[in-house]
Amino acid sequence: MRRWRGLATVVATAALALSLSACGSSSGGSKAGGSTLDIGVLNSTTGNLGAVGQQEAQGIDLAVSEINAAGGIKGKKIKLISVDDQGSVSQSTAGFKKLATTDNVPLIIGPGISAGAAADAPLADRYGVTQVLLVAQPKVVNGTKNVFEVAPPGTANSEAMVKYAADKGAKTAALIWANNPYGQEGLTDITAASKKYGISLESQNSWDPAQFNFTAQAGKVASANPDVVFLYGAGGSSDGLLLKAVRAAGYKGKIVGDLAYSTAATIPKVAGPAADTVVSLTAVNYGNPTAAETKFIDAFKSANGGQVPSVLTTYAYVAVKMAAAAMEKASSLKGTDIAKALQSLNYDGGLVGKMAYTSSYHGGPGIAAFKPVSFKNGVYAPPVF
Amino acid sequence: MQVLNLLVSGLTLGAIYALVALGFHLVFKMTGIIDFAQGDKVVIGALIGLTLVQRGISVVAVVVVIVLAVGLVLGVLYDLIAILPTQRNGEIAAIAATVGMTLVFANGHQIVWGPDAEPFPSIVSGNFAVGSVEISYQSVVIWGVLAVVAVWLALVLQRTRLGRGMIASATDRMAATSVGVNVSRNRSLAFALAFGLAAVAGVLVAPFTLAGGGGLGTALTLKGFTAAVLGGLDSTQGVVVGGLLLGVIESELALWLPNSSVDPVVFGVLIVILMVMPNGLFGLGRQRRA
Repeated sequence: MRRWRGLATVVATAALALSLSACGSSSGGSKAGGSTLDIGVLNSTTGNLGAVGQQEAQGIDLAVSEINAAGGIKGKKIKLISVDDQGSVSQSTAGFKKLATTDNVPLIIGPGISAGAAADAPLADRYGVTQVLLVAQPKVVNGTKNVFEVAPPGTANSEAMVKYAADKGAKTAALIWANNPYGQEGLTDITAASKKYGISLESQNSWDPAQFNFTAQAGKVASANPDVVFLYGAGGSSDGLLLKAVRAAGYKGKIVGDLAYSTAATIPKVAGPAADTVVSLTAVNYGNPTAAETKFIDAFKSANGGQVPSVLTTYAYVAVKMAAAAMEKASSLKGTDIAKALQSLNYDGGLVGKMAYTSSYHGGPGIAAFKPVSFKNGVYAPPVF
Repeated sequence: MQVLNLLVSGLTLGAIYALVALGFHLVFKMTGIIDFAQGDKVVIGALIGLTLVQRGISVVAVVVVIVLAVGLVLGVLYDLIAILPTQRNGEIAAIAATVGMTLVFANGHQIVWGPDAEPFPSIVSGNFAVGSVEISYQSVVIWGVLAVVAVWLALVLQRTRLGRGMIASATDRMAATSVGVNVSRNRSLAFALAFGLAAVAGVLVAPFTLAGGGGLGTALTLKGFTAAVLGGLDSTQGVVVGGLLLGVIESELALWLPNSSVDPVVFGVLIVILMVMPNGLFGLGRQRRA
């Protein structure tokens, strides 16, 4: 008798678990019936890439506070449910499933780390959740129904860097790229773009963002002495150490950085005077901002003690604003309906560029999104060359 | 020319590894425990130093003294919180606790100080030239501190009653207790010294590594432990030589190999060395033969 009672308990528990799990997977907006609208945020606010997630969180918070101050979405105030995946793929997918099935959010912003983003994207279609990734790799989202990006592709960033150098007369180049998926794509893209624009890429070296000594990479570049050095960063303070090392090794030519080298919070502080010698191709025109960019930058500085928003912060801000516009337009607050609205939205908030999604392209804007910027004494300035 | 520049850079890098490796050595020799939080303690020390600098203490030598004192106290607390509760379950439990502490430190410091690494002032700024090679004064300070700490540690461990008592505690706790050695006090002292050393190392190396940042503690732990194993975890001079060798080999190899190949080659060579000399270059086997 006792054995049967035990078996019945197991069966009942399993049935309950199955029914709960079924409830979760069939959702995608069940929390939309209340007075608030839950939105998931999945990013890395701690761990090796914690700086990336914290920059993104600042942009998300500002966008949500502006939207809620303006009355919310369809009369509902946004409530963020955040998961810190620590930059780990396993924690990212676990976090996605929690947000989709336990919290039943119809929309998830993030992550901003390539590996986690690639692992999460198929889940968005499976669970019927709209996801706006903060990475710059359209191949991750193209072919999905519910996943979109706002960041201009890394390929476009690379091409903008090479085109800028070619326009300035560079014929020979060297590349130092961060040894992570983002940087590895940078190597491929810079190599291809160099061929396209007639620049001879004479050397390429990787660097490990978790290290701090880049004397060898910098020395190789200084010895090769090309017309231009391309630096592909990792979005952290070590980007500045690499730049400093290249100048300390005696290289006196042009340095063109990817968008990571436009981060005001780290590059001038860490690289010192070397920061004033790099031109970064970035999606926010810090050196000569438009009215919309000025409005955003001023609002961010006001909310964050004078801090200037990084480009990663800007992507996250645009992602939330775009998602909010899609939710207003959508026929319901179900994840799949939000995705349909998003694809036909053609959103352009005056920052980053127009999101011209099609059924086969869900990536961010192209090469025109990137503008050159430099620092002068630690603040943004027009390009130094 | 570049080989010489990389030699100097490698000696500085190696000295940083050696300072971390000395922490591994000190704890292992005095307690029998391998403390995998050693690299993160370096980061914590640098961040405490950064806070002091930001609060207006401009003389870095004064910062070093305060950080040493704070590190010693933190070491006692570290022993009380993380190590003492594991003592009935053997050394493996204690080692597992240190691994847990790496996560506490690595994530905790990002919550307190933020995820971005910050620049840190040198004790002595500027460079001097030897021929065509530029050497920073801060590198000389690090080499000097490494030499002083290594000699002091070797003397304490080999020539003093306290050091011999600590080694006895680590070797056979029951026997040491039976002859009047206070094992608990010695263990607490060992962790205090190790944390103090790591904290001071943090302030010294931060001008090169920056203070804080996500992956620095893990990187220092990995390289410091490798240096200690290479030289011989049991030998003070061994861990110093191991650290310096590792730094120089890494730097010079980076001149000839792609950066992504350097660590695999270094660790491959380490495996071969350990197959031939399981206790490291200066390990127990060599000591016995000597």
